[in-house]
Amino acid sequence: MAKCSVCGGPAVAFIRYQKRYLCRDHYIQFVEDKVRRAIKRYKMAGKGDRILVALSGGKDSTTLLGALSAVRDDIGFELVAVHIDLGIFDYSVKSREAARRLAQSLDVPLIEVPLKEVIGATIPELAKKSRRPACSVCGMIKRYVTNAAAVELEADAVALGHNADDLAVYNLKSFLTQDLEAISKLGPRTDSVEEAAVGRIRPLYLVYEKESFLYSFLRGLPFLHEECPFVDNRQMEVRLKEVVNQLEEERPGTKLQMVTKLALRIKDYPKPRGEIRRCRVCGLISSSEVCSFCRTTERALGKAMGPAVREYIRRKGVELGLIPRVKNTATG
Amino acid sequence: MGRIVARLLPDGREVEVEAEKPLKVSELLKRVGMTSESAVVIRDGSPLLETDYVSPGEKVDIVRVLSGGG
Repeated sequence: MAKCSVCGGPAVAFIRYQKRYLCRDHYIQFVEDKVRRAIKRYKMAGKGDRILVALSGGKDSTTLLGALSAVRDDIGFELVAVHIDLGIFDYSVKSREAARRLAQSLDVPLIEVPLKEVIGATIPELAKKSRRPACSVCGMIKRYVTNAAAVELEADAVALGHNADDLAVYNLKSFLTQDLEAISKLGPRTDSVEEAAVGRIRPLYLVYEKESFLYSFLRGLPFLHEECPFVDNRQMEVRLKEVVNQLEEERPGTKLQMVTKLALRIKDYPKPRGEIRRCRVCGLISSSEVCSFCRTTERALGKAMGPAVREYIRRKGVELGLIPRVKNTATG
Repeated sequence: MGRIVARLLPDGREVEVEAEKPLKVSELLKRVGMTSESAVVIRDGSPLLETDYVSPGEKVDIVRVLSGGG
């Protein structure tokens, strides 16, 4: 039986690009060290910051919240999680249960946003009414609600569960389609726009997708390992992940190299053109007079729902004692 | 000739892999069309290393860790 390269205990994983075997405890520490290193190297968060974690209930956001909760005392930031109940049949019910159990077990306050209750429609209903693909509507809704929650809660950053595989593949896809502006958004962090958009951070920037799965699995964290019924496995991203993983098998460390080089060169890519505006209806960031969330809900439901979402989150924040925000530099 | 029964997760489909002798995890993954970067093999609740062996008659879970879409 292979032994842990650190303590000699029974190994549960082999880190090919480091040629090291690790036992359960040292594996967990290895992933948490990567998260801590990414936060410090890329200046994602500091003492006294409030970090809002977008918690879907899947493996990556579970690893994200698990690892962040493990390092929060070292760095001194505060954690809050937001879960959006998308109303995607049984899949959303199971996702919500996993998110609730995780937040409770890690002692992280959780704001749940049930779409059906807040805007009067689920993702499948909204997709049907707006005649748009479910994944496109879902991505837009998640971005909007998460940002709205971060603005209302006065968070310093929104933490996303994108792992190294995701970023390597988004980068490759954007390069293949020559969407260079999209690459400029794939760095470890993006900046905030005061009172309209909160910057995003990616603490799993250096964590491989397999490492993310194993971390949650070995820690016994509750997560849902199921595909959304709307996922299309023929998508270019899925094929590219397979290709990138074949390269990783032949040349261990390829993915890590791809994302660290990307972080170094991110400023060289052109930023999206067009001015940053505020939505006339809800006041949050927009590229036009009315943001896509307010525009889509207005068209599909007869009313722009941005203000309702903001109001709902504000009410929940007050109930949980998160609003008004009390800044505490000694927070844990 | 024996068989290794593998449950493929997350979809839950079961496949049988014919094997005359114990197979290395990396070989088992290859036989079901996966790589060790994209999947984890779990036996009795514990993840296996690429160099571990699975014997005919044993039952394992093969978890595809790549999530679809983006």
